Amino acid sequence: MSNSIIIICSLLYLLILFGVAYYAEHQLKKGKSIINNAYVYALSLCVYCTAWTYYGSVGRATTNGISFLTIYIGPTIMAALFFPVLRKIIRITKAQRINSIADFISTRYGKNASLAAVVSVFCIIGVLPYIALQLKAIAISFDILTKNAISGHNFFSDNTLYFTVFLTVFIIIFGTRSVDATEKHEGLVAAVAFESVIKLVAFLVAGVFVTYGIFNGFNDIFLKANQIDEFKKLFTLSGENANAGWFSGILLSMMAVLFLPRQFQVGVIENVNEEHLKKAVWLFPIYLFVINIFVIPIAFGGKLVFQNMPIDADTFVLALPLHFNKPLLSMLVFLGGFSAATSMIIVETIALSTMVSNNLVMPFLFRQQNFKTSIDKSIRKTILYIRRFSIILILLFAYLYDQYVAQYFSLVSIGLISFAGVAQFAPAIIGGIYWKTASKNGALVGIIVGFFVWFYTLILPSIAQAHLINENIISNGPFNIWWLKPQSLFGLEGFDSITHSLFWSMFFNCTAYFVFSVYSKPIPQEVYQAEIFVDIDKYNLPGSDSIWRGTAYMPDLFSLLENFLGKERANNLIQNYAHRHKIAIDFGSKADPRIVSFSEKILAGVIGSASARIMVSSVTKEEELSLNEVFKILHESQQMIELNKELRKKSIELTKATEQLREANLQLKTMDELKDEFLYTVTHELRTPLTSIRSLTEIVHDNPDLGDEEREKFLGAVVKETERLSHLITKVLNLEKYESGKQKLNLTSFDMNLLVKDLYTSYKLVANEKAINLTITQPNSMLLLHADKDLVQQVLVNLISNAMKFTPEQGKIHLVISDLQNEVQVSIMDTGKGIAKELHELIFDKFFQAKNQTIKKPVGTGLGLAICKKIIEMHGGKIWVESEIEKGACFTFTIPNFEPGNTLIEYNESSI
Amino acid sequence: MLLAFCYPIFTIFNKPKFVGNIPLLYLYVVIAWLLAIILLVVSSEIKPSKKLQKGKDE
Repeated sequence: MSNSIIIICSLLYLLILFGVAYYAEHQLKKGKSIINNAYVYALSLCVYCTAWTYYGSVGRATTNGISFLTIYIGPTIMAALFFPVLRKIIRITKAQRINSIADFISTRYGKNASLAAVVSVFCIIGVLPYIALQLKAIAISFDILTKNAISGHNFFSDNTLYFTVFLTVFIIIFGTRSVDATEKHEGLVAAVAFESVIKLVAFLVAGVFVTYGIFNGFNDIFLKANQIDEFKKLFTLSGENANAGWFSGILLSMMAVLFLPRQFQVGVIENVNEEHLKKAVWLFPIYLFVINIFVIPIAFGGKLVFQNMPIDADTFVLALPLHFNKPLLSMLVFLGGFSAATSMIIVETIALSTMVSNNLVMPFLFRQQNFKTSIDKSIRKTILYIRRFSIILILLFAYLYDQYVAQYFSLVSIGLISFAGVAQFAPAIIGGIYWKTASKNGALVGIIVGFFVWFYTLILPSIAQAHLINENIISNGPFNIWWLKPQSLFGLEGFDSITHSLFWSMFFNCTAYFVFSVYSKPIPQEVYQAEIFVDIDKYNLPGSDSIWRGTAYMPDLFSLLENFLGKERANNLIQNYAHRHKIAIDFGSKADPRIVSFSEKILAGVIGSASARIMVSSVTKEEELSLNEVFKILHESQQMIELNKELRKKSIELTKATEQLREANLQLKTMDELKDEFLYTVTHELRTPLTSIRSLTEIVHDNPDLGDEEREKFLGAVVKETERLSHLITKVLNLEKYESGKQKLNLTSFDMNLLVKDLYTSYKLVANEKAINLTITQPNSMLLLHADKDLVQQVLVNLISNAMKFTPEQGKIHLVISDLQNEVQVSIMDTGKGIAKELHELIFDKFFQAKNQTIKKPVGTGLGLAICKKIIEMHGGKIWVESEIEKGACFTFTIPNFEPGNTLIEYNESSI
Repeated sequence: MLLAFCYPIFTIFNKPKFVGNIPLLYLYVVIAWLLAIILLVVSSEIKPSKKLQKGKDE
C-alpha cells in the first residue's frame, strides 16, 4: 500500500477525531454533556487497551499462551472493587478538587509538595516509555503496511514524527483550554470513547477474518496447532513458578487499572457522576473479554501461516490480512491500532502535563520570591503555556525514546515495566484512604524505596540488554556480589523478571510505608487530611472543611483568586460559597477561615494542592495548630456534622408528616363534600315521594265529591309512593349498617346453583313479557357455598333487576355460574346500553351515584350497586364490571368458598 | 473471584487436556471469566443503587 494513501487515511481519521471532540465541546456549550453518560464513561475506561493490547497481546500469546490474559483478568477482578475503592477515590477527588494522581497522594499526606514532585517524577519515568511504546507501535504498523524497512533515524522522512506533531496539536487544542485542571475535558473524553469503539471493531473484524476467513473456526485452529509440537507448551502454563507469574500478572494489572495516570485521569478526574460506575463495573470487563476473544486465534493462526517467515509476532494482526491481500481490512486494522495508540497518548500526556506543571514547575516558581511578587492576571496564560510546553516536552521525549531506546524492547516488556512502576503508588493510595495512621514519611520513603528496587530489578537489566551498561552487573551483580544480582536479588531465583521485581519492590515499599508511618510523628495538616480521606462520607458535608486558623484579608485573598480564575468567576465562587454557608462577606475586611480554606481548595483545582497551599500562605498569616487543636476541630466538626445529619433527618420526617397531613386533609374535605352531596340527594329523593303523597292526599281531602274510582286511583298512588319511600329508607339504613359493620353475616351452607336457578325461573316470566331472552349456564354439580344466603340473593336480585332494566326488547341476558376451585363466580351479561370505561370503578360508589342523580336521574335509588359491593366485600369476594358503550355489560362477582367439604352432586341439566 | 483464577483452583485445569479441540485451561479461563462478568452485572445492577442511595442519604 502506498505511503500517501496511508497518510491520507490516517489524517482523515485524525480529522474525524477532531470532529468528535469539537462536536462534544459544541454540545456542552449548548448545555448537553456527551460524557455525562455511563456508556461513554465505561468506553473511556477502555483507554486501558492500548497498542500493547492490540499488537502486544498477540505477540505474547505466541510465546506464553494465555498468560497475556492476566492483564485483563486483573481489571475484571478490580471492577468488583470499584464501589468500595474507586467510588471513594472519586468522592475524595471531587471534595478536595484534586487534579492528578500525584495531587491525590500529596493532598492525602498533608498537601506535601515534595511528595507530589516525587510521584510526578516517578510517573514520568514509569510512563514515558509506555507512550514511546505507542509511537513504536504506530511506526511498526506503518512500516508493515507500506512494506518498508523499519523507519530509520531521518527525522524528516519519519512518519511517526508527523503523527506525533499532529497529536501534540490535538492535545494542546482540546486538553489545555481551561486553566482549571479539575474541569472535564469533554472533547477529549468523547474522542477517547470513540476510539475505544474503533479499536474494538477493527480487532474483532481482523479476528473474524483470521478465524473464519483463513481457518475454519476455533476448532480448526486448535486442531492444527495441536499437531505441532512447538504449540503444545502454549496450552498450559508451564515453568517452575508459572502460578506465581500468573498471580503477579493479575495483581499488577489490578493496581495498574486504577493507578496508571491515564486510568486515574479518565476513571476519577473525568468522572462526571459516580452513578456511572454502576454500568462501568460490568461494561468495562465485557469490553476486555470481547477484545481478547480473537487474540489466541490470531496468534496461533499467524504462527501457522508464517511458520518459516521472519515476521514479528507483535504484528500478526496486521500482517495476516496483508499476507492474504486484503488492503481494506489491513487499513481498518491499521486504524484500529492507530486509535488504540492515540487514545492512550492523548490521555496519558494530559495527565502527565498536569503533573509536570502543577507539581514540578509551579511549586518551584511559587517559591521564587521574584515570581511570587510579580503574579498578576497573566498567570493564567503562564500556567496554560507551561502545560502546553510540558505536552510538547513529554511527546518529544517519548519520540526520542522510541527512536533510540525502544527498539531494544518488545511491546510487552515495556508495558509490564510501566505497570510495575505505577504499582508502587498502590500502598500509599490504598493505605491513605483506609488507614489513618499512614503518614507522609511512610508514603514518601515507601514510594522512593519501591521505585529504586523497581528500577534496579527491571530497568537496569533492560538498559544492560540494550548494551548501554556493562552486562556483567546483571550476570554477577555489582562488584560481583551475587546476592545483589538485579534479576535474582538476595538469591531469589526461578521467577520471571516482572514477578521478581514486583515481589521485592512491593515488599520494600510496603515495609517502609508501614514502619515509617507507625514510627513517625505526623504534622497537624496530615492528621486532618487523613481524617478527611478515610472518613470522606462523614466529612463530605458543608461546614466540615476548615481547620485553617490565622489572619487573612479579603482583598488579598480575592486578588489572588482573581489572578488565577478571573474576576467574575472568583467573585461567583466566593459569593456562592458564602451564601451556602451563611457567611457575611465584606470585601474590605478580614476573611472568614472557611473562605480561606475554600479559596485554597479552588486554587488546588488550578495549580495543585501543594502549590495552592504555598500561594495561600503567601497572602495570609497562618497560626500553627497543635495536634490537640486539630483533634478538637475535628471533634467539633464531627459534632456539627452529626447535628446537621439529625436536622436533615428531622426535616425529612417533618416534610413527610406535612405531606401525610395534607393528604388526610384533602381526603377529609372530599369525604365531607361527598357526604353533603349524598345527604342532598337522599333528602331530595325523600322529598319527591313526600310531595306526591302530600298533593294526592290534599286532593282527596279537599274534594269530598271525588268518585270512588278516582279516589281509589289517588290512594293507590299514595300507597305506591309510600312503598318507594320505605324502600329508599331501608336501603339507606342497610348501607349504613354495612358500612358501620353493624350488619353481621348469617353464614349457612346452601347450593348456589339452586339459588341462581330459582331466581332464573322467577325472572324468566318477566323476561318473556319484556321479550328478553334470559338464559343460564351452570355446572353439572351441586355447588355448596358457605355464605349469607339472603344477602347473596339480594346481590343477585339487584344485578338481574338492573340487567332487566337496561336491556331493551329482543335483548339477551345470560347468567353464568362457575366453580373456580376456591371460589364461586357468577356473571350476569346483558346486551343493554353499556357503561363507559371510565365509570367502571365509579358505579360501585354510592357517592358517585348520588352525585350523578343531580345531573341525570337514573332508574332506581342508585344505592343498589354500592350495597352489592359491600355485601360481596363482607364475604371476602370481588365484584367488577366489563363493558363498553352500546356493547352491553357483564357484571361479575366472586365469593370465596372456605368450607372444605363442598360436595359435588351431579345434575341432570347443565344449560337451559 | 480472585480465587477462581489463582492457585490452587487454577492448577486443577492447568493440564494438557482438551475438550473437543479446545485446551482445558483455555476453556476454564473463558468460562470463569464469563461467570465473573455475570456476577458483576448481577451485583452492580442490584446492590449499588441501594448503596449509592445510602451513601447519599448519609
